[in-house]
Amino acid sequence: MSLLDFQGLEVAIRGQTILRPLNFQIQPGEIYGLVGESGSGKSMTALAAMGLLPNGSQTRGKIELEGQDLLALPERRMRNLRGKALGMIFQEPMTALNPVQPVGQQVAETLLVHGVSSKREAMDRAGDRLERVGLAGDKTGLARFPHELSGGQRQRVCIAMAIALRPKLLIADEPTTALDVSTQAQILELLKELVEDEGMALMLITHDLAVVAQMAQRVAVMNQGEIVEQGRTEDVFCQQSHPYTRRLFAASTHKPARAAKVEERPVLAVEGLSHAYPKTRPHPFAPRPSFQAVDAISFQLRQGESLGLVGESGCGKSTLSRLILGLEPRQQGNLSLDDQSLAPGEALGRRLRRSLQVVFQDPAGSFNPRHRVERIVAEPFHLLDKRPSDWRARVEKALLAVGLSAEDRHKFPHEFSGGQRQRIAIARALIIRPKIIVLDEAVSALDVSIRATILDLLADLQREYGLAYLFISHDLSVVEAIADRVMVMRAGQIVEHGPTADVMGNPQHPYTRALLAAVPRIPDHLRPPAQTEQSS
Amino acid sequence: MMPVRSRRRQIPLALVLGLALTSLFVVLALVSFIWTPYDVTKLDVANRMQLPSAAHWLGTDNIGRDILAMIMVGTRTSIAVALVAVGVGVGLGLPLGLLAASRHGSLLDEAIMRSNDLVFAFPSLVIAILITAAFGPSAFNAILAIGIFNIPVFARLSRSAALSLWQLDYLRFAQTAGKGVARISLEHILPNILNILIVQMTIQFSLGILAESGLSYIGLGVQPPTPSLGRMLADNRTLTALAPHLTLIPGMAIVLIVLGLNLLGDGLRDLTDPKLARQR
Amino acid sequence: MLAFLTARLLTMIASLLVASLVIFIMLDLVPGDPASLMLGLNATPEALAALREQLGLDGPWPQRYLAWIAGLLRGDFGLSYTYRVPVSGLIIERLAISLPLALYALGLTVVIAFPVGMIAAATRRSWGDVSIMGLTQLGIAMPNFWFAIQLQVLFALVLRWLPAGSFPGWQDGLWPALTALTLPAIALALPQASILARVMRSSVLETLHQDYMRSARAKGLSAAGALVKHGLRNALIPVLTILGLQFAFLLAGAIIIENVFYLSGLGNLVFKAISQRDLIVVRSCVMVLVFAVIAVNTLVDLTYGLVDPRLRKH
Repeated sequence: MSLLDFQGLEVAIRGQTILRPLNFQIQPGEIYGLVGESGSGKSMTALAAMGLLPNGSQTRGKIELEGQDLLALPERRMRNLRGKALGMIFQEPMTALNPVQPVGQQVAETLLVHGVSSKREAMDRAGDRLERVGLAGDKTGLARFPHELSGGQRQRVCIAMAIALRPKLLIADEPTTALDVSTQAQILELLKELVEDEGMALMLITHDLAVVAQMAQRVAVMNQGEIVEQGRTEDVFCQQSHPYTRRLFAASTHKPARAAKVEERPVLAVEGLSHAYPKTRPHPFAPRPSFQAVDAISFQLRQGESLGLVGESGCGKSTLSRLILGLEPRQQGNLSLDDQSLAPGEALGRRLRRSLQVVFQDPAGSFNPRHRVERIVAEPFHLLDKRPSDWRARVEKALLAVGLSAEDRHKFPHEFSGGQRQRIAIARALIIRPKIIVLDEAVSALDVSIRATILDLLADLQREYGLAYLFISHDLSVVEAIADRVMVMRAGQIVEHGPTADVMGNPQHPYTRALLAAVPRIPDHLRPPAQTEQSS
Repeated sequence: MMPVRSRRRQIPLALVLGLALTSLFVVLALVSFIWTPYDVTKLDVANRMQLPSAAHWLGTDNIGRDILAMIMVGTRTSIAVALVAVGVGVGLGLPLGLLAASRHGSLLDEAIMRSNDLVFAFPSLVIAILITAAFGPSAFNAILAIGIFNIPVFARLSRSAALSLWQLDYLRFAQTAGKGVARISLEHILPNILNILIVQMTIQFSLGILAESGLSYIGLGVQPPTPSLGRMLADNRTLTALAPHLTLIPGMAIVLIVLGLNLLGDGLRDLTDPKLARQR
Repeated sequence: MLAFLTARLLTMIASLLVASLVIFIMLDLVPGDPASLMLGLNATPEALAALREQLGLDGPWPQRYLAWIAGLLRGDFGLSYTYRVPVSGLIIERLAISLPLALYALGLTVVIAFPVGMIAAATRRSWGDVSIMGLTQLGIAMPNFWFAIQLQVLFALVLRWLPAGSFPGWQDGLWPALTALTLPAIALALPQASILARVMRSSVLETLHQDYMRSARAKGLSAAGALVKHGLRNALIPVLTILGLQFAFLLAGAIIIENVFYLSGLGNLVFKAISQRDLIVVRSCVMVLVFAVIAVNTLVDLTYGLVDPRLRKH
């Protein structure tokens, strides 16, 4: 008998269908991958199994846990299963823990809720479990508060909470999406170990095909509330019988065709750039300590070139981007733009800013919600002495260039999807014909298929306008796809710098090597024959 | 992100009720400029302390003045005091808050916020005591006292609202488009915090009416012979046991104005912030 | 934690110093000579000069300010211009009514608002919730002194359950004193409790949407269990902020309400002092009020540290 059996599960919220009939089984002790883009319904599937669907949801079909239909259980009995037979961890470790309670108590609570041990024993076992997930389980370890832990450590606490009673099934909903690659690798490793040691099954929900490839024995591909394809991981990955699966695979390994003409002339040069932030004083009379966010960085960006900057969160890449964009006064180091050199503290004038534009990450926060697209895209004209008389025509042209229609200029940003908004952001950056565009995590918030189309667009625009890109990202695979050269940043410094193929293929610095090793990749034996040849 | 606006929004009941009550009193106050049923300065001791009747719809007070006329003029006074006090609060608090937010973490920000905390340590009654002790009692003192108290309210509100906007990418983009802090504050921040400002203004307006009545009641606010709702309560207080309507009616007038403004504020908030409305 | 404590105390001292300076300068601006006010029109210049020296009215203002602060620190508030007795004695006598009244009202506010707010949140959108919220709207809209007048008429004059006013003092025991303060405390507390109950309700509802509540449910807690174990303490953080601000309103309100109930508290003292131009009494009363507000806000800040571990660091 399978452990968890979804039999024709349907979910609707306030009359809107979220899940169409779903049929799949999870066997005891296996890792089952559920993969799909945002809105595919994979999280709802998990919540349905936990009995935690939002209010106003209607369900049909059955979810059987060892033959017992969970959907038919009264809440009281469902409660006994949660935490005991079914554990769950969520995507956002930063907010998943109660900020005002020590982590030990939060882990011990799982035991106490189910009345399996006394308070004393529960704390002891919470300590054991914390040690099992790689955290300190002693008195000080138990007494720590969530804010004293890093994101990865918090996710470990969540795991300890979920496995405290050795459930038969652990559901992990995008458990590593909010984490850095190296932390992600550690958490995935931990989950794998736990499945083996504790004999539990794992339902791993992710958008990342490479993560599934590394972890799951069997996999289901979801799209718009439906499972389009399921089976053994090798079969699904190698055969890709459904068109959506093929599209998803193609998008996640997509490399835009680039034919950029890189010229020798540097359009942007940075020389010995450093920046320190003051930190809060440890006590009122202490001297104010500081934090070196950017430490003596130098590089050049040539016309028509794509330069990638990768690093994990907190490495200083956002500070660096702020310094280059002139959002923060430079404390140390020169910046030269367009052959004009600026000393520390010297602000970018309007004339220089004309050659430097930016596209940010967040498609929701990038635009004033009260302005129409026309006004949004025209904002950089402020850098000219006078708004050109044909500005409307230029806005239309920019919108057409990024694949939107001229009519779109009358709409408000909320009328567009995430991918379309990123196109608006690119149109806005393009409108005064800059020489350089800083792409600050510009595709990080997008689903893979949309990301692929945006990367293509960026490649086309680069060819057409001879743009130079500074491509900042935490995601090595994206940088690999688009950059000519790449810089690896860590703790404020560039630890490695070179042509993309060299850095990725033959990394010199131990940090680069560790980072590359941590990036999940679809192994060659899981690629369809045609793709295997391409990548070798 | 799904488009949020497309869904048609219901007009909240609170908004309708609040708007109705508020307009009623605003109209009463405006009409009092050109017409009142009786002259509020005219004493008619023979007809004092009358119950509501056809001649005096709401009765007469301890010296025979018509209560409806007194309430109309008193409402006008209260609204004027509260309105100017809100104006003082917004006029000084909003720019200070926007300035502090745009220089977040600087000494200037720190100084503005510390002075805000300091003003918060002086309730408007205490400010009124200080001003009255120094300059003598007057309606102007009430306005000043309530207005000063409103400054940190609006400064804090606009600062925190602006700070969360400064985290957003479109403000950073505006900076890369060469726009200065002042221009960004006007063009990108102000329109987007206007709704919460308006909601807070109605709240402070209603608090101002309450505060004015309190100050006038203890003699630190509006001075005779100007009618004010608080003064009417003070004048007739000792007669409450004999003629309850003498304090009941002006008191109810205050309750209804304040209630109307509060409902209006709630309704506006629900209308402009669907996320909050769903939670409530 | 120690650093947190010292930082808060230092902030408090700084606020007190600045506040005292503001108060001093405001009242120092006032024209008029207290000495001639005290001695009347036919005082000799010698007597006036002697009195001025005795009252410390000579010398430039920074010197007089420092003398005042030094006095305050010793508990010496100076001599009242009209009563010719130490101001500290006057204030302590009056504070024995006003402070207990404000604290009594604060206690009532909390006792009423917490359960009412929680019940409203727990039964969200039910008839109970809707009527509670309607009542709180009324409560907020009532001027407390007007409510006090109506309570006084109803419970003291018509029903004769509680005394209509005047204060028997604490020497006859706790009971008569508390009975005398009950009506004023209720009048003060209900409007503030209405505000706090609404804050409590929305703050509890806010926590329902937090991720950690979902984690708690996934552990096997019931919805109510998660609310009690994880929601409440987090919901308390904004409630505390409002409660701190409310103390200032209660204290100020107490001063107005005293007038309704013929209580000779701080309000009575300060209003008389204003009309008699006894500015030294006004100054000291205002300083005491401001001190109370700042002290309570500091206390609230410290409580934050207890409730929210994230704040203990700095």
